[in-house]
Amino acid sequence: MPTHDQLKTILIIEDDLDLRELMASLLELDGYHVERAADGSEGLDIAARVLPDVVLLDMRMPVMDGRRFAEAFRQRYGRKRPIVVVTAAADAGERAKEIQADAFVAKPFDVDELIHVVESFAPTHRRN
Amino acid sequence: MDRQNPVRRILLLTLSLDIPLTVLTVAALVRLLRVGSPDSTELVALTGIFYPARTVLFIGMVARALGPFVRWEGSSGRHAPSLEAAHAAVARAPLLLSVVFSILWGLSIIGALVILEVLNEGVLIENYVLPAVALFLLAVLLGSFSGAYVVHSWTLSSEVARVSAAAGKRCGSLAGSDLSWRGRLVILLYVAILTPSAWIGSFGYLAEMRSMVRSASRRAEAVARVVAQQVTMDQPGAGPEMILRRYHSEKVTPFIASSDGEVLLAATDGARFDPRVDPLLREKAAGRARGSWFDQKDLRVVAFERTAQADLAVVAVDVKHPAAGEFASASLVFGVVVLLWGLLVTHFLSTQLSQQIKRVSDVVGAVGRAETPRGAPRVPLYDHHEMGSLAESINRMLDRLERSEEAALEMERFKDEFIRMAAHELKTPVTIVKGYAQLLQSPANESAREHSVTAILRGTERMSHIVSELVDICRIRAGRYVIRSERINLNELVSEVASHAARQSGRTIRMLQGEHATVEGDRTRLAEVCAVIIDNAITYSPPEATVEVDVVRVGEQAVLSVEDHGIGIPLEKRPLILEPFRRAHADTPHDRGGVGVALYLSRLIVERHGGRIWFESEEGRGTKFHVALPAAKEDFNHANTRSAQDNIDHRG
Repeated sequence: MPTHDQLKTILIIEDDLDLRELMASLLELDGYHVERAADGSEGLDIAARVLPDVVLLDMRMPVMDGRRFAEAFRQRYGRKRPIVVVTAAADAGERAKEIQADAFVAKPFDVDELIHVVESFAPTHRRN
Repeated sequence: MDRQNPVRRILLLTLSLDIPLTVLTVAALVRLLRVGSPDSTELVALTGIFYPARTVLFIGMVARALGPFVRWEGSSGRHAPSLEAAHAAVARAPLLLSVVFSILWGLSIIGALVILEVLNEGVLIENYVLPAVALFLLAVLLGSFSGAYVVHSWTLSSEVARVSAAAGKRCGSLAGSDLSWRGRLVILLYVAILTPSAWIGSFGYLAEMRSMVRSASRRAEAVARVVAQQVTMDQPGAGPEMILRRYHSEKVTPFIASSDGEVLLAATDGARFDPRVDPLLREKAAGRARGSWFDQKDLRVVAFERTAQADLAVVAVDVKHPAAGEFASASLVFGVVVLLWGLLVTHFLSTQLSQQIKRVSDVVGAVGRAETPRGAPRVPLYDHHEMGSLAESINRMLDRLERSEEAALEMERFKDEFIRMAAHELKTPVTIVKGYAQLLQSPANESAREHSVTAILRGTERMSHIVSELVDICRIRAGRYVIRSERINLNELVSEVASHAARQSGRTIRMLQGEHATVEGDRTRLAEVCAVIIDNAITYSPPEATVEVDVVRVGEQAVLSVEDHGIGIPLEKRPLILEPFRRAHADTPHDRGGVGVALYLSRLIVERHGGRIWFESEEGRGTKFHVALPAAKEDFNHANTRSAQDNIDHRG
């Protein structure tokens, strides 16, 4: 089993506590290291500490929303780290394109769908 | 008189228009019965007999033209009259009416003349009948044109006014007005001048001719008698030549003939007539002592008087008197001019009316063909009488149609927004429930079981909250929202809600020392309203800021105020805050989510209680919401008495 340092890090930025915890649980079960943030600015703080392999980003949040986070994140870390937008907006694809996200997951999503997208960007060795 | 029956109104109108004829006919009949048959009385009397037939036909025609309106009346106003049919009727009616009018009158005058010819044994002679009939027909034709226009305009304008009033009832305008004063003046002038002049112009001519023939006959008979007497008396120094010369003049030509009709002696100097006596003399004079007749061929009256010598003293009188001709042509010109004038004016009046109908029907037609009443043209207004009011009514109706179309579209937008927002807001809890449920399926996740179940329950709680909010909106919009009524101590209610909100949020809510207020209403609903504005104040202000709640009395109202020191509401969003699906901070960093119906629902609830909800806000400084509700009756006594209670802070 890989050590903590070898695990891929996923940053979840989502203001809804239950949803954030759900995604975290799913990804942790799948063998990722998960960092949690309730809004964009918190997300930036965490990214400064642990650069995530994938960012799961909600669009509508208090304090700093998804759009502003994506701008700041791109500015600091370029395009190397993919951003996956998780949104309930009807035009999820459009929203994702607007902020140059790498992929999007529309709510309500399937557990497998979320895992599949994250794995496509950050393949994990641990697979049961 | 029943004003609602157009046919009856037409009857009255027709009679009033032909009052001179009616009076003349009655007078002529009376005179005919009492005096016999002097001059033109028989003619008037006889033609007047045709009057009822003409009136009946006329009413039938107008009633037919008014068919669309009459039918509308009959169907209890449920269907508007076809304006296109009305326009066609208006355009066609005067011509049809005039033609029928003329034909009928022509037949009546010819009929009358034929009867007279029979009665008077040829006293009325064809020389005068033809011009008189022609003149009469012309007068009737022109007169009936204008008459038809007038009657039609008048009746139609009342119908139009009624249609307008009925349309007005549906679209909330005032009732339309009747005929304009100009229209009335035209009709009055028509009655005062046109009808008598038509009669003077036609019957006058004929009557004058006939009276001249009669007076000429009498004169000729008198002269013939005198000549015959003097010739018979054989006065000394006054031979037949002298006598004849004495009575000879430009108009009178005396002569003596034998009973065979041969002229024996004539005063020929300057005479217009050949002294040859018509061969009719023998026929006319056979077996008679005296007599006279009208010579159609030479336009003269010939009178004779048989003398003792069996010779005839005959006098021929020229009836082509210049004065008679002048009178005839003057009355002809007068009649024609007046009739033409009447025709023009009434035609103008009627055309105006008909054109307005056309304008209205064009607009209505355009609206009927268009898919939506929005952007429909309006009827141009030129006049506030007659069609003017109909046009206004129709315009108002179109305005209203447009508004209702707008309202329907608004409702459509509301529904779209409703579905969109509901779907959007349900997505997150559905994701949560679905995700945790899938997580529970995985046996590897036994440890997170309790947490998952809790999260699922919270998710379903959120969903049911959204659903009940949406159901409430549907219900209140459909008017099925039940508001129970009970007496509520508003201070207590607000205090309960505030302390609950403080516990939930961990925030400080300060109850200011308020005034005692009791209201009547639905406790649960009002508590919801109270909770919504307190929640909003908490949500949109910093965690350390205090929310202040107050209840005061303003006149007969109890006013609840909730003030926060939060982010405030952007100016441009303020008008929309109390509308459904509007959130001041939607898609901004301040967005706290939600369907955006809570305040709208609160507004509906407060309005159902006869109250009002409003707010003051300053961006960056905070917002103050007010809810005013009618205070319960007995509370008035306590008005403006502040309770002694101090400010109470509810702390979380």
